[in-house]
Amino acid sequence: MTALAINNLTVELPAVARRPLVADVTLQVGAGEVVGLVGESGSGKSVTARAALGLFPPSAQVTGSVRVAGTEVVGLTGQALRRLRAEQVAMVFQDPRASINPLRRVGDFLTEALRANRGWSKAKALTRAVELLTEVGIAQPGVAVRKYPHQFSGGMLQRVMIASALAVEPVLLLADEPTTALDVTTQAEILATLLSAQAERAMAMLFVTHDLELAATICDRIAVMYAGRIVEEQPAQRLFDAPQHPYTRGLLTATPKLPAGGDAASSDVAPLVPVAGRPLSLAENPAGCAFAPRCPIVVDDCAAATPVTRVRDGASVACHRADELIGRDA
Amino acid sequence: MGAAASIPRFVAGRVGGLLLTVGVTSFLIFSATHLAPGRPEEFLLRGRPVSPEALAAVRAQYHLDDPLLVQYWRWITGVFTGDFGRSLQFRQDVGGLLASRLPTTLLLVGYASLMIVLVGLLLGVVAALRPGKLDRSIMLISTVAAATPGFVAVIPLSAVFAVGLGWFPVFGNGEGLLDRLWHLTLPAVAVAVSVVGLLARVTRSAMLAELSREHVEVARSRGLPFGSVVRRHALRNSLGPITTLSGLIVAGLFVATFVIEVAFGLSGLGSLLVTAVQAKDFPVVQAITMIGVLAFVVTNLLVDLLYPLIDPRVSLRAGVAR
Repeated sequence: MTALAINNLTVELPAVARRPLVADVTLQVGAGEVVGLVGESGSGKSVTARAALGLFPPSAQVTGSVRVAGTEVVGLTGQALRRLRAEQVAMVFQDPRASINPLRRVGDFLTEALRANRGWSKAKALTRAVELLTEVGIAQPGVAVRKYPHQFSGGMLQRVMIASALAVEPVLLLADEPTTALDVTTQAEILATLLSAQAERAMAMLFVTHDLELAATICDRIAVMYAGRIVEEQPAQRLFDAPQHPYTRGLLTATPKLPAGGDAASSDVAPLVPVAGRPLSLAENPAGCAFAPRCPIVVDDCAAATPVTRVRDGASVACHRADELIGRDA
Repeated sequence: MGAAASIPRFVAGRVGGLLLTVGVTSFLIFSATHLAPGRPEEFLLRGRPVSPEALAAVRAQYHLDDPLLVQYWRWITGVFTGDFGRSLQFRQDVGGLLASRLPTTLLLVGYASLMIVLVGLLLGVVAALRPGKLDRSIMLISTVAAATPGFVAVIPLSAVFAVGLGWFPVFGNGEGLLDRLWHLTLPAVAVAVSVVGLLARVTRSAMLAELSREHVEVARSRGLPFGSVVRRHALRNSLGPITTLSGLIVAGLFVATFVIEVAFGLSGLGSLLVTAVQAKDFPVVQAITMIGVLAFVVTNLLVDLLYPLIDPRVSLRAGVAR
């Protein structure tokens, strides 16, 4: 069964934003699959991921369908919504320091959900918390549960956050930029922890990031979002080798690469080409393709209508010129 | 460990500061009562014409001819041994006089504090959780209440609940604890009215700030029941500003009760202070003022000691002056 099936999800905030935060998004994550959701800030990737938890912005208007292991999430309230969050979906947030209550012990944070949602005794929940902390690589877990969050480094605290997500035994794990707030060496360790836990449990994972290269190394499939829409979706390696949407191509040429020889000064380094222009703000809602003002291959049609998503050979692209681009050598 | 070892040192430091504060204020209080117009011997003699010899004898009996510093020293050393001097109007030990009056005031302060904290927290939390009409009505009522001085609140309170409905007495202390509490209810409400809104406001804004924090969203995203998200995360984390303000309010209540005691004819410290001021009964005025200062300093010390329990990131060591 697909762990997550989003169909034509649209999230609007009429009081705040002129354009939808998320527009007509369709995305699937199969059991045991790792799917990357890539885009710049404000592209709607976090809103899409949070939809799987039934966590919509206050007073948002939501249409479409979000199913987690067959359960419809849109419109879910009260006890049923709590059950979804307690048993099916868990999320690792970006900034562990902001995500964990600073005034309570780490052990309280870990056991709280187990005790409230499963009715476990304090001792049983604490035993499980210690096991999970061991799994995510925290030394002396028995001591760690008695400590407060400010006594941990950011990386250690993110491990605590991962342990709390694993405690749910979720069908679907959401990771919203889980390494962005951490320093580079810690990032690799946290990713390894996350991926080994995912593989061991054959959990589905939706990995939200702005880092296309990172997504390509850890994900099976990648969806690229721009201004609330998914503009391209492909298996990770193919997206990297043969990007089809001009925005994806722009992102890839804007990524610095070291030459294979290790000589950064050599002349065969591809020049860095930034994507011209600026991302669409929430106050703008132009007709046609949202990327048109920044697109290097824009034609008159682009401003006339929103491009439909075309699917071919397992790749889907929302671009008026997709057919020509696929034919062309990338 | 470090935090535990620093507690005695912190307390010692704070008690030192407390003694210094009490020392300075005691001198100010003592000299201020002597700067006030009117002389005590005139009260002692009730305006009767007396011979200069008799006057000198009275002044000598009360050491009124000694230099101010000598008088202060005699008084303050007495205070530390529990001797507050003799009341000029009652011809009785001030200590005994206070001991008979103190329980009423303490009970009134305790009763009013309990009311303020319970009602203030409840109103603040409800206002934060129910934006819209309920929030606006609570804030409007608390603004009106905050603008109503206690002695003004006395009039409608006794008119409606004591005279009109006859639920509560208008006058007197009562006998036994329950009867005393029954007598103290209207006075406690009168004391509480003007400050309960303040606490409600601070609770509301602290709660709103906490509710918008990411860790509260995370708690909700983990499927925790709404009630425990509010209690264990939002309210728990709002306790810092709430405790600080509650400490200030309780310390200030000692002064606020004085006027109310007179209005409701309670024989507490407040009514004693008012008659003592009118009668130039210096030892009594000084003793009661000192109790007010002590109450303020001690309450603040307690709040400071409580703070690291609320927020583990606050270490007591950081609070010690260096």
